[in-house]
Amino acid sequence: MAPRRLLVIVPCLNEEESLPGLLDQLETAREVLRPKALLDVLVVDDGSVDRTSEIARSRGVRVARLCRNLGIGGAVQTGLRLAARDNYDWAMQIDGDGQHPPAELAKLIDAAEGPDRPDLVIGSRFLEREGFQSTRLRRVGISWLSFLLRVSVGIRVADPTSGFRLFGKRALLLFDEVYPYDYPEPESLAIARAASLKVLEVPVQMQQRQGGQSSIFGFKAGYYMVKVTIAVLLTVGRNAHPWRKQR
Amino acid sequence: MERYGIFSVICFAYAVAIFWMLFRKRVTLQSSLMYLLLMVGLGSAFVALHYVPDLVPMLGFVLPANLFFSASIATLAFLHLSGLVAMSRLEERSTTLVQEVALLQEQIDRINEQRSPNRRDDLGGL
Repeated sequence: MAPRRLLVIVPCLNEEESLPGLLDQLETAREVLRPKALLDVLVVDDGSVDRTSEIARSRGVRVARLCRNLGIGGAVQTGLRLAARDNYDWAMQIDGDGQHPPAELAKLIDAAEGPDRPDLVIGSRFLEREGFQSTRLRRVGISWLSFLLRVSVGIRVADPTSGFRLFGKRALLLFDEVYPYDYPEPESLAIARAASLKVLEVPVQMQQRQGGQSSIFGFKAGYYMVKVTIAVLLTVGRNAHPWRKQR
Repeated sequence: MERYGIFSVICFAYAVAIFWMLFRKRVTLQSSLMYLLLMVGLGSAFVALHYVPDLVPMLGFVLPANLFFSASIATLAFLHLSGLVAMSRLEERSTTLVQEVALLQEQIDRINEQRSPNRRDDLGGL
């Protein structure tokens, strides 16, 4: 079978420290994956004030520079739109902070080619509990979101906040149209489920971020939980509405 | 009736301020029309205060001022809500525009790179 075309989307905000290392690893992964997938890289610069775009351009990768900060959802959707328009078979999201080792890409690709033919593959750090596991407080929050998704949309995902994802064709078409801008990962799972996409989770190892700091801490962590919970419930409500089903 | 005179003047002052901003193009007519009508309406309402004493107990209020206050808050809440709807739509459009500009710029960069004699063939695939 001919290798598939894969666009690796790297959303970045001020990642000049970690980006060169990540691009080196992606270059290595590109050679390793060549029989299975032809890999292109798109760095989506989400309004950085450092040299993120210049570094990416100097390495010869595709760069989409957003003229203002849209947040992770807006940045990822930019990449998904490009993948859908350029007719890629798959797109993959990898965080620019180095948390997602490109050496793990093959696990997601193997899962996408597996017998289940999923539309969305999620790399989970909690299925085999190896590598970086996040803080205890965050794991409590992740457990709540996992529970919420299970009872509200019937989807069993151990790591709903994971941004290490592979999108198949159907997922690309769906998320080209609609993708949450703010803290998108759990909500996008509810949207995928509502659109009857097949979601599969595979174990991966993650690393601690190589540079920068998480945007979710302190008060924002509480805001995140409340916002995401309401967003998931709204998605469920919208799709349970009889008017919506008649359309 | 005189007691509401000051309130009326303030409302008309707001209306004049909105007119001034419309004149200077600081706000658009479609977004400020409701606000303008509200201020003119409230400012003119003191003329109708002769009839209000009959209306006040019918609506469950004790004082005309309470009716005035409640009606004003309800109208302002409505205006705020319509402002939120307009802002959300604009945010959505602005986000889409930012994405489209970035994607177009990326296309232009690629075309320029292909035309450039010094393009980096060795890394072009990545």
